[in-house]
Amino acid sequence: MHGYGIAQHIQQISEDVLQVEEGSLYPALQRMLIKGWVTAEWGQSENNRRARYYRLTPAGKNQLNVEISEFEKVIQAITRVIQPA
Amino acid sequence: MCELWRRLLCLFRRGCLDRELEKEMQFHLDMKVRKNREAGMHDEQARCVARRQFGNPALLREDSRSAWGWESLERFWKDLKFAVRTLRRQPGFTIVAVLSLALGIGANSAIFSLINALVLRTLPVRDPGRLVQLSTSSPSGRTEPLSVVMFEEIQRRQQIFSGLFAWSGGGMANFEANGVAYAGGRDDATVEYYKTLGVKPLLGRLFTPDDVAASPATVAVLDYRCWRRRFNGDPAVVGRVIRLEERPLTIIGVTPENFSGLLVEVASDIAVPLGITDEMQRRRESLWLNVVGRLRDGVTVEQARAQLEAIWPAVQTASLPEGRQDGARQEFFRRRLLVDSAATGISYLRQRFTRPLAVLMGVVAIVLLIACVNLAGLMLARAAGRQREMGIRMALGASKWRLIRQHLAESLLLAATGAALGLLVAQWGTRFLARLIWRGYVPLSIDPTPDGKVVAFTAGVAVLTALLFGIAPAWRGTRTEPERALRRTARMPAGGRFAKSLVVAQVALSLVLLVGAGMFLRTIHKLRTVDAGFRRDGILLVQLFPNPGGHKGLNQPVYYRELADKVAALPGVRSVSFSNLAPIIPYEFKQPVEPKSGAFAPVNAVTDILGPRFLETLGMRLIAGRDFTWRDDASAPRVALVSESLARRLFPSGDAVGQRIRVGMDRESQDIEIVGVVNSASLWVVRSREPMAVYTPLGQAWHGIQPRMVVRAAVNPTGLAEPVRQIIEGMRHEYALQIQTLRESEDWALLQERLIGTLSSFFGSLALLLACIGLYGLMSYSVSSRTGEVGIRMALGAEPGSVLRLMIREGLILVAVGILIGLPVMFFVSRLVSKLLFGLSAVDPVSTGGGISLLVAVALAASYLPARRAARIDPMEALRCE
Repeated sequence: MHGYGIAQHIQQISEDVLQVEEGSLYPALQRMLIKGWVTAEWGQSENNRRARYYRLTPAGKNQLNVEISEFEKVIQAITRVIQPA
Repeated sequence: MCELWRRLLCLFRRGCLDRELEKEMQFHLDMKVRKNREAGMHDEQARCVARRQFGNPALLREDSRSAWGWESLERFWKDLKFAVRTLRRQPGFTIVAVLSLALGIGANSAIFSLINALVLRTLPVRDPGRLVQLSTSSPSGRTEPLSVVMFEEIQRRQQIFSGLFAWSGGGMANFEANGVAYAGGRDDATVEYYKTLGVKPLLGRLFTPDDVAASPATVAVLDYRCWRRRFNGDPAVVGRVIRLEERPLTIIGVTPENFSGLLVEVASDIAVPLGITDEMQRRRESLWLNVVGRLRDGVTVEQARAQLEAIWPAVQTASLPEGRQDGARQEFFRRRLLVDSAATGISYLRQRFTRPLAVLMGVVAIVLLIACVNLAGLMLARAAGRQREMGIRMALGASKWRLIRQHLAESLLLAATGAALGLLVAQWGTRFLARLIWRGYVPLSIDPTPDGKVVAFTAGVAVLTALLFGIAPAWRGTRTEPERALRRTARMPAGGRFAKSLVVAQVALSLVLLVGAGMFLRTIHKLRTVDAGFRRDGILLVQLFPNPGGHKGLNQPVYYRELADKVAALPGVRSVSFSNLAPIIPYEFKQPVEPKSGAFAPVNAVTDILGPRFLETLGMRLIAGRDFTWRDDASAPRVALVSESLARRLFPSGDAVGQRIRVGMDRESQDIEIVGVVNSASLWVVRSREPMAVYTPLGQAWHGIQPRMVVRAAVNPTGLAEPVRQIIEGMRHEYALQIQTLRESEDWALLQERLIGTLSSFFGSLALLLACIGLYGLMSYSVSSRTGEVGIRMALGAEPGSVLRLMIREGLILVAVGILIGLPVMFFVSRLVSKLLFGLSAVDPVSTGGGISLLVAVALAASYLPARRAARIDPMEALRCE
């Protein structure tokens, strides 16, 4: 997906709860590129414009799993704290 | 790892990546605009809203770029480019800065390069750290070589060396190569020489056991330089012949260019295999073999030392010279075996020059410090001129650290340029210094080209220098608040306390250098004029050397007598004699001397060999007994002369004449009669006072030495050089290897002191000049910034004279503070170098007084002109300007 598409997707799926600022999107994409978690290549978009498409690499998938498990740990911890209250 | 690779790629494809990012963000923006239009907004509004939501594209691009991680490098690169531009705009400052840095850094590099070549550089052989040298300790504390039997016994019993060889220590010989006769150096080494060192031949082959079978040797290995110089690099040189003292030797190989033997300072022309079968060589009293071995893998120097110490007693017993009585026996057994690393080869220069080179290192370090201080002052003045620029930058959001980095980039650029030039200066300087400190008969072969260590040292010094003179002005220059800097009437920092302290520092350092120079110059003067117990004027020294085969069948004592008579007959010659070492060589060769009766413990005395009439020739005094004559030869009983100090020591109760003594370990000198007592002259090292000495006659001790002829001239010794040379060569047995007056020889002996004296005088004057300029600049600035104050003073009635005095007093106060700070530093430094001084107390009043007066005079001169300008100020003008 290209950068704009990623931002749109996140916004739609989360029903407007999560809005990705462009100011943080592109630097983040660059960092992931450097670390080798995504690859990018130029392609044609829906309206015949040239856009850069990003794809997750195997290393990126690993990292994604790591991040997800971290996130879940945090969520569980918060839930445990809230529950008795 | 891959990440680093990707980052590197980003660095090199910056431009391309930049453009891609821009296109990508443009696409994103366009999509947003389209979405807004679909949501019903007008074209213009859609675009506005989209752009507002998107944010600042330039900022986004910068943030994205920073993710690549090369920002600091890029910023540094930009700083450098900016520094180049600013420096180019002020060529005067840049040139002065680069030149003074080149001089300072170059001088440091030169000295370090020489120290590296003499002391630090390891031999160009395989794994030099595994090489160790064996030597014995002499009773007088020096290290001495081993005897042949000792070497063989160690070879038999040792288990820690994978290779062991003995080397003669090098010597001079007459060669004939390619039809040309010349004098050069020879190395004699046992067959394991090259194998132990790990040297591979460039051409042909090196020693094999068969080569030692024939004695004397019939083969030789050429040194690279000899091959190029004497055989023109002939590729077919293997198999050709080189004559050593008329004996033809077949050349079997050539060593590579980077190998020049064990001795650091010279490269011998050839190496000859040493088969130690000759009876003279095998004498147990002769300690002449330098032994070097390569430790087996896994054996440390400590283990080697332990094992060798364990077998040493057995070696000593097996190599004890015959006919030793108790005293001498004990002396022999008291010798220890010393094991030291031989990684840096062997050097006679090293011993002599390590200390003076260390002192010189200190001197040039001070010079560099002064250059730094000077530059710091200049940089401060520049920073003052850039106040507005700094103010604007800070107002735009630059951090102080960012501005300091800009200044540092400039300093680093200056230092780097200065260092690059300095390396060139260093090359020239090292060559010059090396030529100064070596005056041997074989040309010096110290390689002065900078190797890795020197370059690293220079780079390190450059960085340190840049930090030293860059940081302080940068810090001061960025201290002002932006608002004040933007106002045109900002107060400039160039005249403040910091600038004053810089001048004070310069004065203090200059004082140290000047007084140091003065002390060394006075030392040299004292050494030249002190009463050494003999007359030093009008003496010619001629070093004799035999022609090839010149000594064959020659009765040498008779020859020397004839030579002396012929030379004495020349007009203008007062007297002629011979000696082995004296006068004025920079070391004393000592041996133990004791009364034959054994009444006293042996005393270490300087030993030398003299011809008859030596006392008369050198103006020494005979106190008791008689001088040597030509009748004291091999057929007569053994005799000796002793110095008064030795006579008093060994025979305090009475007359030494007629007593019998033992000298050293030679079997011929175990029963010698004293026939005369002479004054205790410092014939060798002028510094040593009243040395104890024993002299043996030339007629009895001429074996194996090359005597020097000593000629006293009635008027001018140099005029005698040619006639004497012709007489020597006319007798066809020997030739004059070197002829010089005693004063010239003295110059060589005083080389350490002269070197330091000259260089510190040169640098001291330079430092003085820099301090003067610094003070002048400061005073000028002070006057110009106090114009208003002076105007008011004069309007209120002050005389021009009092204004003049006021300004000059300011300058003098600065110098006085500098002197007060410099005095304790100078005192501390003089304690450090006290061993090199002579005849001076720790705080030499003459040098100190001289240095102070010089500085004060310079201070007056530097402050006078600005002060005069202040006194000439027209009060009306001054007050109006304000």
